[in-house]
Amino acid sequence: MPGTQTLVNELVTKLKKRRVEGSQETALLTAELLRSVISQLKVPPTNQAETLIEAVKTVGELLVAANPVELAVGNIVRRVLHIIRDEDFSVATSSAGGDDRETAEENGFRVQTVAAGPPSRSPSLHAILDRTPDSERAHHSSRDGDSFEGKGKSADRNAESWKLKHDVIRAVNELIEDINSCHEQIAEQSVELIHQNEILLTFGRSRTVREFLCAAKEKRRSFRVFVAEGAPKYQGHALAKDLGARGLQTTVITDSAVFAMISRVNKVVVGVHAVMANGGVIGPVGLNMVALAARKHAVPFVVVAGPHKLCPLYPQNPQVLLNEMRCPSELLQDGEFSDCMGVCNGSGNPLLNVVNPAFDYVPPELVSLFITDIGGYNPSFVHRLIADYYSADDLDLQKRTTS
Amino acid sequence: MWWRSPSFILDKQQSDTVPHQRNPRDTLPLPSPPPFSMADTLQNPNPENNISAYYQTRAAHHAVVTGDWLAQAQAAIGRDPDDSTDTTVATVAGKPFSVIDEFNSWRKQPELAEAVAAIRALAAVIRNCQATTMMELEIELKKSSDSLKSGDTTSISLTAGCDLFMRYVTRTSALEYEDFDSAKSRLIERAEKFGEISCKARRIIAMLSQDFIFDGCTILVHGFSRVVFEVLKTAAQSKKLFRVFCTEGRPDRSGLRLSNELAKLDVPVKLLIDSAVAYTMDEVDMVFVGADGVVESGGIINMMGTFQIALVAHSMNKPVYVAAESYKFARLYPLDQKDMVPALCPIDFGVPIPSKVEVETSARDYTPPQYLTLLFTDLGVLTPSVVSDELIQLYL
Amino acid sequence: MDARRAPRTVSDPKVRKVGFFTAPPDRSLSGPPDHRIFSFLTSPPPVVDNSSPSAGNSLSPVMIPPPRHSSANLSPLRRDSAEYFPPSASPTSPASFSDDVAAAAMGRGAVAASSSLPGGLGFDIAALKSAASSVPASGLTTVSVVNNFPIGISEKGGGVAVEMQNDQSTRSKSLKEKTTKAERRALQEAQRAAKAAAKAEGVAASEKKGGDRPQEKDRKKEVPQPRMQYDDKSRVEKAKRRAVVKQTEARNRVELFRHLPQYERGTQLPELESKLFELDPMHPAVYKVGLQYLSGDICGGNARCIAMLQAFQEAIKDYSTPPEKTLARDLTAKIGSYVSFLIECRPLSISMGNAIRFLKNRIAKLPLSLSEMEAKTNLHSDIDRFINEKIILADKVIVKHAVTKISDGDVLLTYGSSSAVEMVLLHAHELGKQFRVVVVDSRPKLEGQLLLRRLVGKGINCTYTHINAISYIMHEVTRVFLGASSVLSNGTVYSRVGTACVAMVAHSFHVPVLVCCEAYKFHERVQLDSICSNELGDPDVISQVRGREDINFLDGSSNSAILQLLNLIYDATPSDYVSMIITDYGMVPPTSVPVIVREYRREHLWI
Repeated sequence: MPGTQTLVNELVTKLKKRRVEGSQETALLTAELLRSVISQLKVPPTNQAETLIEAVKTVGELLVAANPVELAVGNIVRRVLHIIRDEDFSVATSSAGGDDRETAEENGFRVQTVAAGPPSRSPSLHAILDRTPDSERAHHSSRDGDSFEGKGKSADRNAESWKLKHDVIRAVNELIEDINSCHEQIAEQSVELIHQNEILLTFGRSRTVREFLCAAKEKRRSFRVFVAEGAPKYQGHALAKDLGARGLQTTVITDSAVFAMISRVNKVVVGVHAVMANGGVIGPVGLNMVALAARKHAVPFVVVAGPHKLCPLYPQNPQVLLNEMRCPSELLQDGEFSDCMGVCNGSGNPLLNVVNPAFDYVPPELVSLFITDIGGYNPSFVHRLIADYYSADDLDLQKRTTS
Repeated sequence: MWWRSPSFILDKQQSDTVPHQRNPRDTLPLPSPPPFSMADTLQNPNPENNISAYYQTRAAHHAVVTGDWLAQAQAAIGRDPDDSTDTTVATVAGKPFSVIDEFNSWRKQPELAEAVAAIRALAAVIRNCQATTMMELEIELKKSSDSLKSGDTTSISLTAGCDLFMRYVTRTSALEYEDFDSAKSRLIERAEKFGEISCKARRIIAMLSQDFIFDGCTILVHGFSRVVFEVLKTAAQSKKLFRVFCTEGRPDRSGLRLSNELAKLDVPVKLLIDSAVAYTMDEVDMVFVGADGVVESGGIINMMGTFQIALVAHSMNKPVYVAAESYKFARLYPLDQKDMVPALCPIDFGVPIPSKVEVETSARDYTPPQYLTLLFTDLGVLTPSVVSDELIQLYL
Repeated sequence: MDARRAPRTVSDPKVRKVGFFTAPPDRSLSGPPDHRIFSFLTSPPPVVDNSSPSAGNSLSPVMIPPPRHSSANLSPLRRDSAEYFPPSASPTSPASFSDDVAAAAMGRGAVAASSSLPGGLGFDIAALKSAASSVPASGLTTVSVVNNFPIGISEKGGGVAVEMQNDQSTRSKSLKEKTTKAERRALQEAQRAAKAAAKAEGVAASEKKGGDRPQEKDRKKEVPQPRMQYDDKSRVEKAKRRAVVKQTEARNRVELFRHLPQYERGTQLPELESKLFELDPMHPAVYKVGLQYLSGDICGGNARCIAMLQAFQEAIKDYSTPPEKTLARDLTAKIGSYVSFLIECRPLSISMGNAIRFLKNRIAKLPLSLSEMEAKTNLHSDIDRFINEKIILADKVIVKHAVTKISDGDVLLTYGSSSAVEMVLLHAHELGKQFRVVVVDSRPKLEGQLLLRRLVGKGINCTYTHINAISYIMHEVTRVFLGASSVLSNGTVYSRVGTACVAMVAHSFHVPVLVCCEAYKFHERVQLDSICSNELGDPDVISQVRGREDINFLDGSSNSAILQLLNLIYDATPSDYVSMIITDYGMVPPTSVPVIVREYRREHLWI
């Protein structure tokens, strides 16, 4: 499939060179790429699900490796994998339902798993006694496929394989639709959170936040917004301009004035880069400072996030591992410190280091509320959303790529 | 005077009578406490039969002074037909069957968790059961599990294991489609596999936690926990560079054993007295503890001192990770430290304690969920709030 | 007294004694400072200070207060009401100066000048007033003083009269509401008599008694006045009429900061320059400093303060008393007008306010017997002394203390550019300590770059980052050193905007925060947040990011009604984020700031 290969390479280069920025754009590109990978894939009559999963995983590995800190890529790959498993499961149960329920021991096993929920659901205490000590469990869906094959019921399986692919593509389309429209659903909830004469603070630039605030404005709420500029990208300026253009009372403040202003702020509303499984968030650098200040003054810290930002991983040392360093020239102008840059001390280390991280981690304790496209949730509930969106089997996607 | 208040006297009476109620049921004389503590316990107001059975097994499995102590314990239980190495269930078949005997023989194996022993004991109940219908079997099992549970009210994982198995028997839909004999054999087979499941759970936990142990980190551990040891062992085997601070783990000094084991694996270990935790917390990157039980709130019940460590770690923004197999999840909801069945254990102070001096002999404490960062279980990495989710799914 | 103070703190930062102890019967002049601090900790009972081996000094600090003082302690309430509700204070007050009514009521020339200050920015007014009111004080007296005379004299001897002198101004204000003109006249006569008596007792007595009791009165008198609120239309109008610099108010003022002055930027400078030769009342040295403030050539608390004092020195040198006026009053008025000019250029910092207060005090305390020439040299050396002891020497002491907290392998974080911190770092480097410095900076001033350049130039290993990365960098930091513009008496550190963020993050990472601040910057005002008092910088500098031409979103739309830019200059760091304040008095916890403020106030009034 040369067509998909070039597409994949294209996106990989884009990701590597950091030419795609913003989790939404990345998520959309990834989803679209995976859709074309799936649609161009020739599905063999047997093992369709396995084949699809393998194909998606291979592409996913490449994409994730291209930009490991852009978590949206991994999220979408996992979502698509989950969709495949889900569709496979529903196709399989619809065929398995009916007469062949009590046929064999193998089927007894299957019925059990049906009772325990979809096969890809994360392990639960409930099923602990059913768990076999070997690791065959992960593959039983495919094994089921084989067993059915072995029983010579392949007549309708061809139709099913076509159906599976079709269903998967349809579901991926829905996912893309979801990502595109999540702003609107999030924005709809703004009237419940923003009230007359309130003062809000936001940080950096986020399309979701912009839509959220504007939606409240359209509902004739008059409120005031402070925008912290968000060094080193200073995207707050752009956001402020957008908000000003839409008629919102906007005031731009420096990042350093966040603490000074927060005592007058009623709510902090921010967009983030990713939401981790423990309810912590990865956001633009400086967000932790804002969250701490909000906590100090008991100001609610509200995170608006679309579904593509939910990441099923637990953060470990996120300040270092889920971060990347940006160019020092964003802080020190070219040439200005060039004389100091080369200077080394006795042990050969440079005398002057410039640190310019891109992301920041906010622990779940500092987040008051998540506003997602399907409602508002506490940080402690994020793991549930993640269990709905992702399969436990796909969590190690990144591990495989890094090892 | 507070000690003359009715409630205090009542408490005291109860605590005096409890051991008497329990002793007759214990057909086996339990291993006596370590000899070095004898002299002190004589002077201590707490009689040695006040020591919870749970902590006696625990001491037998975890204590440092296993050699001579076990020998003495062996002598004390000389009339026991089972040797602790003998694991076959069939040996007890000749005698009138007792689930508690069964359980006690199982739990003498050091590698076997309490819950596994309980489930195996229940499997033996099924095997020996003359019931002919599922209903009868369930009733029989219920009786046995109740007597097991009341035999040692302090062990959380015993209770949780019994509950889990009972739940499996009553709920598993597969059983409904089978005839009685195949259902029975399936149950026995599952129960016997459970030992493997428990070992596998430890491996899963160890694997899950590897992501969280990074090179150059310093880990504080408290007491001896098989799971935590497995975690550290796996990390050492995968060539991670890390340092471990072991607390001494008074009163059973189980931390010493962990430090010995780790030293064998060439992991750099530093031993701390229990009171040095706050002092060293600065250098620590994460705290790893096991758990006797994980309760519904997401908090844990664990060896005395865990709460203290979690408090210190929390106030210094250090993550506290709990490694616990999911069969330790228990439907308990303690509100505070006193809201639990106290498990008592002997404390050796090294010097005679005058009989007027009271000694706090509780062996474990409750750590509320807000002080825990993550739980590593065989169900995955969970936040404390997920525990309740899982329990709700299982029991409601 | 002060001459001894600073060097002593250098040699031995003593542990303060806390708790009750009986003072030795004859404490000599060289009594350690801790005694005195102690005496202020327990200050409600009037403790006789150890500054001279006079008869009263054997008193224990726990002695029962003489009845005279109980009456004094009652007075602040009434006095406060007089100050805070000016219109009701005095029927005789000229209506136009209602903001400074107590002083105005005295009808003295110097007072009129001081009340012509448009600034009203808190302390400077307070400073003026303390100066002003103590000048004419000698002309007034009160019944209560006279009544208490015998009791006081039995214990204190000659000192009473002098204390009374400081006392009376407060009391006279409170009494004024009730007394008629005739009565006041009588009181004045009585006080004159008392003053004459005091003079007879000798200057020495006044010096030695002054240290303690009057301080207590001063403290009451100097409860900081409410600052000028710029949303008060009538007062702003009044201030404008008096102003030298014509400022145009910003068209779009940030709503939250209506109470602060918000002017259009860049309009004043050319106009002022053109006025350079027409401005008769302004001394050229002062004028130059004012322009430098305005253009931002001089910034930083110490630099601004020193520049101002040196300009005043020049002005005093060229000063000659006009006929039919006394030096003390006329010069105070003169200084007052200079100060109001400087305020128009840029709002005063608290440190400057304290320095001005000091200077006015010195002028007020000049012995009448001195000739003009002597008085001028006196003042000149006083200013020199202030600069040397309170700023230069204080910094040396701070450096000495702070360096002990730096050990090898430390990673020190500093924010912005503080002269004291820079000295600490350089000194530690000179001592050969091995450490790394993290310089955190923020827009728009980017002062950290200058510091960075100087530190790297000296060969110190530096890491540079911006304030948003503070959570990232804080993991590796072992100490945070911060400078301060002022430390307020609730322990709040008032400093460059962003300092609070740095301290907060450091606090959450359990990294100790050390604030280096000279004691002359302490102030008895309290402040809860950064909004109630602040300074607004030029908003336009926010829209452009230096060296980042790609960021030009706000170029066209700068400061429309709907889109505003806010450039705060300061913020207030709550005291719970501060582990330690390093001052010339040693290393103190933020909770001890009020003690130092009281201690220091007395000392600097009676320097």
